[in-house]
Amino acid sequence: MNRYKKLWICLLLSMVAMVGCWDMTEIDRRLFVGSVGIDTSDEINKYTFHFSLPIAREIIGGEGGGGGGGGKAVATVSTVGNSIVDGARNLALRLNRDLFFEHMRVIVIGEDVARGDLKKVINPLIRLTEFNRRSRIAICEGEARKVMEVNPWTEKLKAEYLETVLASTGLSGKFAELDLGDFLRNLHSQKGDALVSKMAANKTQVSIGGAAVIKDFRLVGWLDEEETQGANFFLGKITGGDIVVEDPQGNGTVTFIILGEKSRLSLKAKEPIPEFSLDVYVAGNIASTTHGIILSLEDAEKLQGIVSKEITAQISKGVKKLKEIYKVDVLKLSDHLYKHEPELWRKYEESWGDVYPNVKIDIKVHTTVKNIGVIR
Amino acid sequence: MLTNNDLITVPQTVVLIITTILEIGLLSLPRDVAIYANSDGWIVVIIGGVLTFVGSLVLSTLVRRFPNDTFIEYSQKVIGKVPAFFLGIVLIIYFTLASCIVIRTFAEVINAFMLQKTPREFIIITQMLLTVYLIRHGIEPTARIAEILFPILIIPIFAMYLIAIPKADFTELLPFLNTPVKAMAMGSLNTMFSFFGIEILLMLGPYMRSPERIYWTMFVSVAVSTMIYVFVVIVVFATIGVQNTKLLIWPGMTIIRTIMAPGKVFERLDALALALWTIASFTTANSFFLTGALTFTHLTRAREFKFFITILFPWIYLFASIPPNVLVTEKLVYMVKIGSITVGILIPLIILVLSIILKKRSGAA
Repeated sequence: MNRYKKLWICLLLSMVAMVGCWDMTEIDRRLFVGSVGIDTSDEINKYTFHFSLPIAREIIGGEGGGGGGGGKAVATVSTVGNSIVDGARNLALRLNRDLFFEHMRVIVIGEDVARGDLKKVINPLIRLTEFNRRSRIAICEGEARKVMEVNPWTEKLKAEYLETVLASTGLSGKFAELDLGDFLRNLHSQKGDALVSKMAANKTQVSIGGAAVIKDFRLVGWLDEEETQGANFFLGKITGGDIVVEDPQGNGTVTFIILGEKSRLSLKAKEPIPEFSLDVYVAGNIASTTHGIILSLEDAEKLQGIVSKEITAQISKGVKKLKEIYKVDVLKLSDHLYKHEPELWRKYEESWGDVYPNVKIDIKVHTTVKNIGVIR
Repeated sequence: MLTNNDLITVPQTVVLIITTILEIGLLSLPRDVAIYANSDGWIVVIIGGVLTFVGSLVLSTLVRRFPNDTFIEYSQKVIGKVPAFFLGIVLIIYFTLASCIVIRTFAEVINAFMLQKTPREFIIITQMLLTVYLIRHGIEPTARIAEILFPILIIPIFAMYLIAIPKADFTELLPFLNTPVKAMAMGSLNTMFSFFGIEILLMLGPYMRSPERIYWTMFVSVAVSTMIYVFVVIVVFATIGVQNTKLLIWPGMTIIRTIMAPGKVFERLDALALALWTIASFTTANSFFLTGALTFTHLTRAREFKFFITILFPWIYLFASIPPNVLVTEKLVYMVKIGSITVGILIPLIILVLSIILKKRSGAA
């Protein structure tokens, strides 16, 4: 019996040494893709893919020594392929390590690709689980290559920089915040319409103000910063940012910091075509006034009115552009009809494309001043 | 005839049935109901649960009528030996296929979300070896394992999906009751397939300590399973959208990849989720495999049931490895689920009606 016990122990211990795994890849055989850029190429149905890859040894080396950080922390490689998977496989001919997409942070799509059919590009991102659904997505002006060549000074890693820029909703409402999962959800539940972050780049920085308007899986145009903020107000997505308005006494400006907002869309009239009313509730702080002004209660109340008016103007601007120029229903009006008035929606389902630009929306903004700082 | 004198208590029966119903098919349930009923999918699940409970009344009544017999014995009493023998064969085939689709779907999910290159056969065989090791000890240890694993399974499932709530948009559940009645009915019937697993009751009768409380047992089991199903469907709908759900093969798993635990302590929950689904499919495979072996034992009036586990093993492995890809697997799953209605409700109903007409009861052979 004792002999068997020893045998069992030997067998069990051998498991520790012999565990194998088909999927094992040593971490030093992997390249973690930080961000992906997609551009068109000269060949039909092929795209140029740029992958930014952090170089682990450079990141570690740079932190230790004062003058040590000679090499770049991030390498960018490009390849041409039919799909992102094809591109990554093509790189196997040139790189000795596997590309690994689980930690992908940002996907940047070039303008030309977006103006073509996005469906072709995003399919593998949905189909394969190796692509990180939490990564953020942006469409850039011109070529994605420009964004991939940015050399940020704030962060060592480009992907980290791009991701955190796109995550700063608490500081500004002038861009569209979206991760891949949300992007796919929006595309499918709105039949291919969505607002996506816009990105523009110079050598050391990107700028993410504004938004790209996608209609039926194609890029149709851009919104500028104010229009984007207006659209965000409309959708109730604003969690930060500021509004600058003229001083009630007319000799300077007041900066109003937004703390939060809620929006409520409701149907006002059904006939002859649907008419909506939108109530937006904004709360915020006064951060700066013209020096020497002493805020009285009346001033604060007046200011609330002025801020409301400014926000209303921004919303109307955004709504007008989306509704009348691009004719894209990213404001989720059809969604609202479908969800709350399914009977009415059945009537308009076919002709919504024609009805939508003429729909009237009555916008009311209610602003509350929460704090005014420590001077009056 | 009872080779194993172990009896299981009422709570053990409840968790055994719940863990049998709760299998990896839950991952694809949101898609099925979304296709049938769009945003009314969760209502369809509730109706499906009610229908399942009504269907389970047939099984329960049979257990009450013949508390000392399994399906094999009482069908022999009611319809005679030869037809009952064929029904027994059908039952064995059904239980074999049921355990094989559970194991296969599990291997499929593991392949898609975690171990892309690991051969499916390897996942199947390791899962089966574990199951065999457990069920060789009989029904009582199997029920006890279900009892131990139940809280380990249920609490994390709720916790995990609750993390998605901040991202959820509950207007996705609107419009309310906007689906044609026909689609609702079809959807509900289809959801009944997701409750497959109650058929194990056919063989469980004599192993229960208090068969007189069977109605209550079934009510609790089906109600708890329905609650879990509805919860998962609502969270999935609200988080990834009804239209998006229709496209995904396993929306219940994809949602895990889109959410992030608060505080970034655990950024990814994939591993936790897969561990939970391993438990879920393990308990389900246990029940089906064991019931299959028990059916065989009772059919051949053998003394020892362990022998039949060995006989069924290669067949389950074979059928689980046959489908080349997930599309074929889905087809097989659908066939088995139709079979579950036949075996779990239609055939017992006929037997029950005949036994009432012929006034057959336990003991009166």
